[in-house]
Amino acid sequence: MAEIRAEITANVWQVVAEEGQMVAEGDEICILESMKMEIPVITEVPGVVRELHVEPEQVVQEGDLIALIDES
Amino acid sequence: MPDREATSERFADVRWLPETGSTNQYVLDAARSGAPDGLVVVADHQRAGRGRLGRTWSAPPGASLLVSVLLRPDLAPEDRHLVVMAAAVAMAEAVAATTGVIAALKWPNDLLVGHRKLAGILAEAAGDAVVVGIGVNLDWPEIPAELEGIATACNLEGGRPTLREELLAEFLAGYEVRLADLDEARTAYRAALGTIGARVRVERPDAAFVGIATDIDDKGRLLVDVDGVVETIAAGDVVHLRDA
Repeated sequence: MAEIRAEITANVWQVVAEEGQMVAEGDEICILESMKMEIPVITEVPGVVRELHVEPEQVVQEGDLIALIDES
Repeated sequence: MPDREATSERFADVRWLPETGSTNQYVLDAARSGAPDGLVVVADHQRAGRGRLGRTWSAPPGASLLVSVLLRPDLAPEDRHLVVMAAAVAMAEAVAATTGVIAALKWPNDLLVGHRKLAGILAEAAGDAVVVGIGVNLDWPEIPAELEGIATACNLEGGRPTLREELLAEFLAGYEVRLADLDEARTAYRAALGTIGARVRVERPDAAFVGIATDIDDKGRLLVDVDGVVETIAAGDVVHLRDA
């Protein structure tokens, strides 16, 4: 499983992907917002979104798990 | 429109559009197509100007400087906000130099005169690129009734008449300088931050509270003293409360 983690502490503005969704490399999983910068979080691997660990308006800390992508 | 070149080497590719949906979106699209660091796009009018969290930014045609800049900074993700901080400082300095209007910064990067918003900045990341978009109210005939006390423009603050090209050139030259020394830019930012010392209300998705903003830390996060407990704010709306 590929882990997608938050690179910085931020608010979750939008969750774009859904559990069970097939994603390609570069697809957006969610959009974070911090210090007035909007940061799309993308998957670097193709696969299926097995787990989403964020929801809108949640605060994530640097390193928090955002999603698990099943590459198999 | 006079043909004016930016007095900046880094920001030499300046494109003027009569109209666009959003200068940020234009530059984001260019970034995803591989456009290099330094692209600058200016619009006379935006049909779909953007603020944070899906809010809109509206201005009558020609009344504001609407500009987006593409950067590919060599910075770790947690440090990229520094280029946005540098933009706020550079724009406040450019506004002062060309119009005479002195603006304070409201965390994280609004420009205010008193409590009235003069300029806003929205940055968007796309891969290793950061697009920094700024809207500066320059020459408005009047402020709409619903924005009275909330927004303002340089001309309404007694500023010298200034062409957008002049403000842009001053900003781009200053921004290039500020980007070359981000430590210095952070020092200037802290000095210009009207939020420090102010009583503020912080609104986050998970909480809202009132306290005194005491400083920013080395990651640019706002420190707010809430009844003796210091909260560290990385993301949220901050409102400067008027004195009771």
